[in-house]
Amino acid sequence: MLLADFGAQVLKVEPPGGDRARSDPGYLMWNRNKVRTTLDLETERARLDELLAAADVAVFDHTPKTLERLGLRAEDLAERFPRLIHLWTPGFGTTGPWSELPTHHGLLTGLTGAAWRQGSYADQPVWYVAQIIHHAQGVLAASAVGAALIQRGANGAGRAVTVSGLHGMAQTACPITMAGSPGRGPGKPLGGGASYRLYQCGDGKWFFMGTLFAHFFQRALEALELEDGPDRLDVAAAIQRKLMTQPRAYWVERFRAHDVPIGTVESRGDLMASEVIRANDLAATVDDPEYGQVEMVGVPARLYGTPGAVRHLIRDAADADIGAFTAPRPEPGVLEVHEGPPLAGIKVLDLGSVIAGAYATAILANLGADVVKIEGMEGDPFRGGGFVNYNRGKRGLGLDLKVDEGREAFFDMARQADAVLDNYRLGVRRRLGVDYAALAEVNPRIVSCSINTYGTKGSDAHQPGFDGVMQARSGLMQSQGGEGNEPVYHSVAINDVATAAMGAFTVIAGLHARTLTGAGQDTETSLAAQGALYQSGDLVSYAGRPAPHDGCRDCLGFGALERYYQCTDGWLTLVCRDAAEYTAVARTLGHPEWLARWDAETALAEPRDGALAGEIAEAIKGRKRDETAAALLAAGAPSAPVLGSFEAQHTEYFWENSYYHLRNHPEMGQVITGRGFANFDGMPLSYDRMEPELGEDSAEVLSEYGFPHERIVELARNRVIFRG
Amino acid sequence: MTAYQGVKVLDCTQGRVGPLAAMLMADFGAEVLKVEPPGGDRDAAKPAYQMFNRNKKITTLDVFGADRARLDDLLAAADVVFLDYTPKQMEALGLNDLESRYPRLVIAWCPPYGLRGRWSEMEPHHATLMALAGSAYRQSSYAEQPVYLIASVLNYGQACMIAGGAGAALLERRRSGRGQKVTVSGLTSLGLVGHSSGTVMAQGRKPLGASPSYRLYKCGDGEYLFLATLFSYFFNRAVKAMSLPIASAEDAFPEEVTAMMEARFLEKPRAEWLEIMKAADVPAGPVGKREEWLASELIANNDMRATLQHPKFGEIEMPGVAIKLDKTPGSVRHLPQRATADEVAAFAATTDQGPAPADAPREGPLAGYRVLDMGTVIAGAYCNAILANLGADVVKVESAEGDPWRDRGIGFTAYNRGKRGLVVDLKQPEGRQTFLDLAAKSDVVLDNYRNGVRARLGVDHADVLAANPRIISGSITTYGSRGEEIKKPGFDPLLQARSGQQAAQGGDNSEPVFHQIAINDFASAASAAFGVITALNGRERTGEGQTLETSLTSSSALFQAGDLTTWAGAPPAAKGCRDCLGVTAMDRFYSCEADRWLIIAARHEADAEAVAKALGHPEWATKYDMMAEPRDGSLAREIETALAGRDRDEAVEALFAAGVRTAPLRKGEEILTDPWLLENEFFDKVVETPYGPVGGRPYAHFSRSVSGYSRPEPGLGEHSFEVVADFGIDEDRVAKLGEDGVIMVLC
Repeated sequence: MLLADFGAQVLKVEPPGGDRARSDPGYLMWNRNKVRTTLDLETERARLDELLAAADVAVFDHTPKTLERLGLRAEDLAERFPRLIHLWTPGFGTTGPWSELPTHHGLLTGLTGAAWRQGSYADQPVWYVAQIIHHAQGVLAASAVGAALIQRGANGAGRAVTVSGLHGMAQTACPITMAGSPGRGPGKPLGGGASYRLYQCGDGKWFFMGTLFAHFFQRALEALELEDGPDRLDVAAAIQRKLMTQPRAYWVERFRAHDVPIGTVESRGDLMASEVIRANDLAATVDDPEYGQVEMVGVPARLYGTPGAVRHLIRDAADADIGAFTAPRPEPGVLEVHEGPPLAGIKVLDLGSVIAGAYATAILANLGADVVKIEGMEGDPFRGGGFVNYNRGKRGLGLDLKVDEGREAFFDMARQADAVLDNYRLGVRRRLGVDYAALAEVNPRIVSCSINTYGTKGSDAHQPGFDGVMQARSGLMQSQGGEGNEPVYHSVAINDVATAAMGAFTVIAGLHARTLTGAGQDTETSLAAQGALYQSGDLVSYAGRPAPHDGCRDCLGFGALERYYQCTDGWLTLVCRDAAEYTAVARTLGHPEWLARWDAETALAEPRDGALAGEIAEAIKGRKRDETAAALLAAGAPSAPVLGSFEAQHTEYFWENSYYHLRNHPEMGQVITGRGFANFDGMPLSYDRMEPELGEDSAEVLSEYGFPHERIVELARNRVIFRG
Repeated sequence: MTAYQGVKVLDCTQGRVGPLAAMLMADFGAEVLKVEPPGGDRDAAKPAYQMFNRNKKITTLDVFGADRARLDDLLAAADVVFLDYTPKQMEALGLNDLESRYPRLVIAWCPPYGLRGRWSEMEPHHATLMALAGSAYRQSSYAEQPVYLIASVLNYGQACMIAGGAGAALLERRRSGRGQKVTVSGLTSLGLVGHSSGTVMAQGRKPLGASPSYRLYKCGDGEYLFLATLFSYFFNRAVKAMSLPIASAEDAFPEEVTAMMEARFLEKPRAEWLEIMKAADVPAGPVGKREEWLASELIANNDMRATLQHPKFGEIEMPGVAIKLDKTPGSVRHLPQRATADEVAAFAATTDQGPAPADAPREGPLAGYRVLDMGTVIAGAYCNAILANLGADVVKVESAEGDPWRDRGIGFTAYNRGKRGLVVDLKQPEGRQTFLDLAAKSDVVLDNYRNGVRARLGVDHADVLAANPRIISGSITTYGSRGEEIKKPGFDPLLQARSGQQAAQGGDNSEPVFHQIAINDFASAASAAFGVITALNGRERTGEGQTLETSLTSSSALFQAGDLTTWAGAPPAAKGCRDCLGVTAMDRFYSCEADRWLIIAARHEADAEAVAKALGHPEWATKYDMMAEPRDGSLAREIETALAGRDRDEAVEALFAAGVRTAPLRKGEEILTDPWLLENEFFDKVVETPYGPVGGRPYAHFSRSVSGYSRPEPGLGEHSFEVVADFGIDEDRVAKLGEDGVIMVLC
């Protein structure tokens, strides 16, 4: 869909009976701007081959065995379609015991440790309401394809690209621990320290205080008139007590006056009507003969030169559509196969910091770009914590952009660079004189991407903001907690990591457009856009749309047959999608009488905490996790263990799928990180270096950018470039 | 009075770990009867035997044969028994139910490897343990290969840990009336020397050290010194003292600084450089020889050289007692002596103490003890973290600047888990008074400040003992408390250098090697923790507190004790070489296919012959005196060739099946998914506590008591107000202390 939004001609091939998600309202969003045709890949292979011959990109999401049986693996097609970019997005990796599981978000979050990353009150795994990892997988896949297309434009050769659910997980909640040591524990349902958590006000309403840095928190204490020091034993409790004295509106006004980043907890249902979504064109409406007016999340990134658009819902392909798809075209370029990462040779100037901006360019580095992290004297305020993951693969340049000499040096680098990315507060780049307009004067081919919290328009655009703030405002917190309940802070910085992925996609889209237009452009995306995009299925609305799933306190699932259950030695995920799977569950657990008591339709609609769920919980609680999950799976009911990060680290499956990377880190010794975000021709992408120290590579970088030695020395002497 | 006076210890162990643990208790007055098999301790011929079994009486029992019942007689009378059998041997000997049979007995078990699986059944061997635990790659080498460590760090660590665990169980027994089983396996000992599980890999090709500020340098006269400028202010002093052409270290790239320094150090002889560094207050020290260490002035100033007369060997020289207690001191009294029949009978005499109390609360063995932790960086902070792991209530006392190690992230976490945090300004009179008021309610205060700092702050031993005559006031220093060097700053590798550890690893006529394991820091932490527990046991007997002192200097001798024990004509201790792979052809790492390695650690001729057969070269047994072949001789070459193309696991299987002590050198991700390590619970797990999740394992496993960290590391002053209130300072004064900035919350 992301490719279609930006103009790709997408023909969707559905099996007889249609897409298995066709009844999901999200189907309307995820397949917009496409045309569809029906093909039985088992019997109509010749027809498919005709389409493959005409396609630039083919996307498959089958399990490894199915893809092999269909003869549709990249290696099966490579010889006949050497220019084809083969994208494969399996749900659970390419090999190992769980790679044949059906694609399912709850199974994935359970298996990969995400469920244990989320804070809970009862020390249990938590079921995510928002399908965050699947969204990440989708954005990463679109980025990888974009990168492969750029490379193909140069050498004419297709590539085999794999982006699995494990890549989605690696990008969403990237592991970083010292080898053999326990990873991070889960967060807390209301957030961490006093400065970054949910609070309730006197009228019962909630807001998120996102004062990630000390100066913001100090201002918050001023706004609360607690600056003389609240009760030192428990600052959060003192703040909470104070907040209860006034309604939320009162505090919001005070925080705004003190420039404190906060976000009111809003309902998911109100998001699309909100000013930030409207002002930034993040909602799209299309008319459909069947559904009437359908509203959905709009194009999540803005490319000023080659904008995306929501043009229509999916429709059946007419002959003319197929004809246009298969029309002969000149073949792109010479056919010259290249190995290695697809963005090799692309130069990126990284003005990103904290998570979203820094991580976006780290993804580009993973895809092979040469990324230079540019920091001022004070450095990225986020050094420490997950800093490694967000800055791996980059080189470090310390550069003072506030002085003329520094800005000049930056312009001289921009002349040779392909892209620049920042996540400064809106307006800062212009103030520094390095906004797109200024750069385009020295290099009209440069692609610029700016990441903001609230987009570039609307009354909030200039407000400071962090992930948690947007989690609150987008409805992510409320929907996880359940309407009317306490909201839930996601331990994973969803909007940040999502925006990082989208930032990478945006830069790649801009670079690809440049291969067509010859010109660079300005682009932007925002945490607000991702706050909406990552709930895309739930935000599709039309008259009579069934209500989206809601969470609850310590949420365990969506229904009795789509839930985590506790065993004697851990938890497992149980998923049934049809009567056959339900029957398998009842029989395997030794309770065929369930089938009489609840017919399949009733059972599939049984709530997560009803009588059936109680019976299943009772039947499972005395059993061993691994053997129960295996028995269920063998009987045809999708099930997998819910693993903690410790167990995952020590499980062969993740290593054989190249999920982890064991690396020597100069400070931390051996560390385990997520390896990368795609496989190219079967080889996992990875990082060839760890994160740079502040300005670690200043001289080397400038020298490569053609600065004469004397100038580098002069810059260093004047402290325009420096090392931390 | 001695700390373990009246404690009967039965030592059923051999070799290094168990005997050393029992020796630590014997030094402090325990009555130790060592039970040896017919034929004696397997290490009886080694000089180390004389050290590890000093102060003990020795008797011989064939416990696997006719004498099993007599062992029970001794167990019935003992307070503590040290066992080092493998899990299957324990079962075969019927030693798994000792707790129920002897409810007052403290059973200290130190199996050589793990508690389960076939590798756990092998005879102990340090390098084999390192190999299995994935730690053979922790040391940097030029050839990017595993390195065989000459220093048996894990063995000494395990001995300190099991002795500390046994001492803690004795303290707990005073409260509960019950003994229990304390277990510290070889794998557990890895936890002492790693950030966590010890799967740290060294940076390649930097055996001299990776950072210009913290490494070995060669001087103009060919001698080496270690520059240990761990903090940038030290390093910049060095840059200045050496007149480098840069103003500060930040002005150049690390490689450039290294090159500049290497060149500059070559311009003058070492003695001159050391004078220059001393004048500039820069931590630096010479690389010394292991064989000269016990005769050095530093060792003399730490009373760490002891001599005993042997009827046959003459004067035997060995390290003294590393922990100095002023009221219940340890001592070196005699070499191992045969016990007379009367002595054995006296040991076996029991006194009826009535039935043991039924149930005791499950808490840490040190529950109820309060520790004021003035430790920083590694040694001091870690010692107190160990006490916290054993259940003590430890308060990390910091100034507003905080422990300089706080910026080390997970490194700080590792040494400060389980503590609460207090920031108090000791420079204000009210701050000092507050500290002394806390001391009045505490059992232990322990620091590793630079010498003289505590006195300057007015919280020296005498001050806290005046505030609380029952307190144990301890200090870990670098160089001890006598002599002209004690004011100098010092860090672990300076003792690695001076004590001969680096030279011994490098070998004669070769470059010294900087150990990436901070041996002397860990040694000091573990031995000081044992020392605190010992002093608390002493307090149970004397009713009064005392001072405790130890030093990195003393620890460096203790952790090389086996190699330092010698007499005229004694066989020399093994030494390493550049990129050391082993000590002989039959005790060495070998490379198989695809750069995967194994260890062969043959114990005797029969093993060696089995190696020859298993590798398809039975002729080696006649061609060579295999056990005497050097690590780089023609037998070693032949074995290298024989293994070069072979699959490692297949070769290990063949050797293992032939009865050879052998193991794969686990590396990288295979460590993480190794079933044997997993079944032995080798890896740290996160434990949920009321204060948040915390990683880290128990220092020792107790069958009845709880151990492990009960909270994460504290923020700077995180619990300042809670702590002073808990220690009984009244509300008004707490408020005043806060207002005056005497105590602070800075996180």
